[in-house]
Amino acid sequence: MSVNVNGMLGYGRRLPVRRWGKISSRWRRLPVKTAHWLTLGVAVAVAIAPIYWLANLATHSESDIVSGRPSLLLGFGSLGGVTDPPNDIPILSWLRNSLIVGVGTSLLSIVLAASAAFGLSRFRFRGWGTFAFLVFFTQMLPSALLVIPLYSMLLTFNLLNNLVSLVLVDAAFAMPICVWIIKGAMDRIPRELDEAVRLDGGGSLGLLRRVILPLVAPSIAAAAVVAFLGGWNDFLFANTFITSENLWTTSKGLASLYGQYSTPIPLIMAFALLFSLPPVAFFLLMQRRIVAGLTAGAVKG
Amino acid sequence: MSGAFAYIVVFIMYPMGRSIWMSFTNASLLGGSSRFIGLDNYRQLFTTGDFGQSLWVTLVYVAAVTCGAMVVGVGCALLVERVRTAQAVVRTALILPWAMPTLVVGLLFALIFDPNIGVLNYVLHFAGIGKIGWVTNNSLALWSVAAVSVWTVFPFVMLVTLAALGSVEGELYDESAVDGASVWQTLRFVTLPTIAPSLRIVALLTVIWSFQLFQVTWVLTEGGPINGTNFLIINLYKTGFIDQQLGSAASIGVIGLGFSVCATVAYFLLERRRNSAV
Repeated sequence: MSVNVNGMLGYGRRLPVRRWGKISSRWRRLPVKTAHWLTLGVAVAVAIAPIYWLANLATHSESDIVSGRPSLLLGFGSLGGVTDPPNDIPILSWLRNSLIVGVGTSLLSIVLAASAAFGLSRFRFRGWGTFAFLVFFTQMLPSALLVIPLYSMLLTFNLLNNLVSLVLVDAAFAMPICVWIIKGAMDRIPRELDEAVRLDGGGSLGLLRRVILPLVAPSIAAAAVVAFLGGWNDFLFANTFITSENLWTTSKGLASLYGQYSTPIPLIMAFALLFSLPPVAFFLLMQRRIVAGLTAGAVKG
Repeated sequence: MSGAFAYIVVFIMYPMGRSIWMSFTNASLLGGSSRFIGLDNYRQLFTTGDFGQSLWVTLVYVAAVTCGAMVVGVGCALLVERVRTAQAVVRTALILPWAMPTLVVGLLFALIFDPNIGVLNYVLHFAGIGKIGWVTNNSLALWSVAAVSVWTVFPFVMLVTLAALGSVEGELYDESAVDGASVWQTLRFVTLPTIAPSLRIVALLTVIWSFQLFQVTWVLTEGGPINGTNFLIINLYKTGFIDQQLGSAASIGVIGLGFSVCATVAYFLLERRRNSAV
């Protein structure tokens, strides 16, 4: 029986049968295995059920939902007519705005984070301790607390009611995590490679980045996704800094729909599903990388 | 590189400083000049009845969410790690709650918890139990909100634990098997102690994040039927943007921040003591 470690996290590690402790026959292990799968099934059901319900709500008609006797199966409604939204719900412009904020945050964050990570990783700055503390500290801050001073700052620079304000602020919050992820990857590149490049006549900045950046590209991608999600999912700042309706992001738009009795629930839920697609898709694609980056520091204590 | 540093200073440290300063003034959202009023905001918080309850429900909530997320997260990680067939599928399914945008989660559960048209009460009705006010009952609301929060957060705990489990060496398990350890014994004396450092830091992160969770609580209860879920962050938002008392809001924020800082300091002190004891 072989030991197979795959992936940088050792997921799917196969260990000898004796992993379970007692050396026992297959039959004696059956009750444990059944309990194991049963519990796992319950966990998966609890994790998925609400999401299933989201799909359910989106595919039934309003009258079905409000009747108080919801059907437990998926309906056949065409997602509440999401393909033909009422004229006063500019879902497309909302999505476009969210996309702008997300992509903007992503680009700004990784540009700043990559250079910061490079500096922290390669140059023995006295800054490392303070920067690590900063990362932690920004995680601790209630963003609601910062909204007010940020609001007046943006007011002074006449950046309110402008998607750029969201990009700037969301990037500020996303950047520390991005630095963490990218630095983790850069640390794993051996210093000998640096020396080799320098010997070949490469300058610190240019050539080194042409060598190191491609090597850490997956982590940069993961960091980009994390930053994108920070911008896409943001609600508090989008709610506070933007006033004109045509600049609303989807989170603001969705929140405004809810509570109005004029908008049918299936439609709201269908939009919510749309809104959830990018984060879920990115997460599924990137889960390994993100965790690898996030735990680069944590696992080592 | 200093660009990034400067960026953080401008967008985070400076507003932070402004907020702390504001907590000592009577600034208002309506504009106009604000006066320095020293510790008045803080004094007012502690003398007018409401804040004590806000503080208490916050602490209960943070404790509940942290314990819940840790237990469920670590439990799922342990279950998932030993699965060979379809491990990726199971893991993916368990990650979904974390991937969903929190606003959507809030809206969704608002509909699920609805006393009249919500599916939970429908199922209960079927089982013969009457309607339950999941978020309308003042004492129950906190636990409902906490449960949703745990649902949102546990995948992160699970992922970190999985990573930590992956770095445990196989020999440890072989040795304990030779010693004839049962599943539970292996768990208690081999697995958990080895991944304990990661668990501790994840617990700290969860505690800190629990103080910030805003969207779900806001959409579900806006502070609870009668302040039952008026957590510090909700209180801050209401005081600042609805009551328009920026100074008071800032002081609430500073207190909340104080808790997070204390938790972090406590963590580092404990870690240091642990390391020096070894």
